Amino acid sequence: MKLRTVGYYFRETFRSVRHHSWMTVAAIITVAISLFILGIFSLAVVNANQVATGLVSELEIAAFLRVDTPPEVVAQVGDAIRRVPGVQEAILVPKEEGLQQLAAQFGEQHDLLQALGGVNPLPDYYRVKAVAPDRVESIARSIERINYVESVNYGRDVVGRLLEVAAWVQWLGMAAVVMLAVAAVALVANTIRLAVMTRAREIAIMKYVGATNWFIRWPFFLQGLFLGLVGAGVAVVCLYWGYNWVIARMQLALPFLPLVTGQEIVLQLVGLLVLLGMVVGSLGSLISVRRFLQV
Amino acid sequence: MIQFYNVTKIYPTGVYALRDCTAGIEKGEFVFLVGPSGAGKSTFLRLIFREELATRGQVLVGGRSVSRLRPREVPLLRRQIGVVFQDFRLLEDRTVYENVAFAMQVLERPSKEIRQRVPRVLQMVGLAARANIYPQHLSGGEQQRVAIARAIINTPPILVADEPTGNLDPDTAWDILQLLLEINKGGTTVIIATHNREIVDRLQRRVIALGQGRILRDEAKGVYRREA
Repeated sequence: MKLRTVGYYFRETFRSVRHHSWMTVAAIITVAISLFILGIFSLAVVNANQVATGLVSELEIAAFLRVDTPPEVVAQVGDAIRRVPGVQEAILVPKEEGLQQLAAQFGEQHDLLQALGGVNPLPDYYRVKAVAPDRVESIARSIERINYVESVNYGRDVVGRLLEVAAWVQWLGMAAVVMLAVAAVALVANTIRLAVMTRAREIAIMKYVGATNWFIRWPFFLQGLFLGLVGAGVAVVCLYWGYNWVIARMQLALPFLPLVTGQEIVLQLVGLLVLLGMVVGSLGSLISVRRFLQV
Repeated sequence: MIQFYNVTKIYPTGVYALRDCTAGIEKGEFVFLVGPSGAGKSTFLRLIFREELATRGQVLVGGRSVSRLRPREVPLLRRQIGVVFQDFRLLEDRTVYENVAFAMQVLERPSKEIRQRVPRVLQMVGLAARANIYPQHLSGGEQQRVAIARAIINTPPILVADEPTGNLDPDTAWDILQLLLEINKGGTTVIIATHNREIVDRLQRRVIALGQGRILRDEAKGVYRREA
């Protein structure tokens, strides 16, 4: 490519965009919608993962000791638990504290201890935290084998389901993203094909005169790139505003959900969407021009 | 300059366009390809600028087999050959000047050179005064002159014309032929496919007569004679 023809390429690109203004707008909108939906899915996946791991990491293992555990052994059991690989911390909850918690749930007017005949039937237990959510199960199994540990409770179902849902959302998102990307490529290809077809005469003459294929391709390539970039831009702007709007309301309604906030995530998405827009646009144009160059 | 060796062309539809054609055209020659519609004239020309490839046999242009060119070399071949069509194939949304300049822009010529050369060639084809007019406002003869100007603007050593006078009245056709002869005098090899009997007979130049895909005659000072 010679420098002096770069101007020509841009003029031709602009001419084509202006000439097919309606189709250009349609293609930009489709790219924007595709990328927007892609963005929504990405945000959903990121948030689902964040929420899932957030909830999972708060899940603890409760290791109940036998009621007849001698007081001097309790601390040894705690040490044994802390030696299990993957354990972050293990906090002793003495039976007295457990009773207090239980009493609080029943209400102040009841003297629970008295009702139980002065005997605390609760066991001591350890609240164990794992370093990672996927370690919870194996840790629980190891703790079960320690002497004086009566039973272990760790919300097996909740952990498993959450991780399952997170993985599922991720797969669904990926599948949707792939399908949308294919659709966007096809739509851009179609738009460029229209542009190519209305210029079929010009292209034929270029070929007869001896223009190189890349000389013919460049303006269409740029046009595709332009469609992709503008589409990505529209998608990013819509996502940014839309996401901030939704997050602001979600945080009011469900303040406990650890959602990812606008600025950081959307800024990370911008790069991805713009890159994808460019890939989609240029791929679409290359596909549609290819057939016209086979002479 | 151009050699056909036992060239056979069968289109995918099964039509035999050319059968076992052998011919040579030297540099600077002026050649008529004659014959009825469907005789293979257009195919003969298309094989030269490699719009089609021979099914069997070899087509050589400038000593090189066109079928053995690498894809990137094809544009270089086409720069050696100017092409003129019966239907002119001008760009309707560009002026005469722009149509001609287009052929230079496409080859990435410097704009200074374009500004100098285009008016000179328009002058040569007699359209200097029509430079800023759009093709649809020109007569058929004028449009063909634009097409010829575009074909020769990059000074190709070969000029190929497929029925250049097919859409023109006899006087205009004759003018176009004069222009092509003049281009030939400048050293350009000119090959014209035509069924314009009057012109062929009047000029008495080399004639290659095609019929049903075969070369029936090849005469140095030929006429357009209906084959027996």
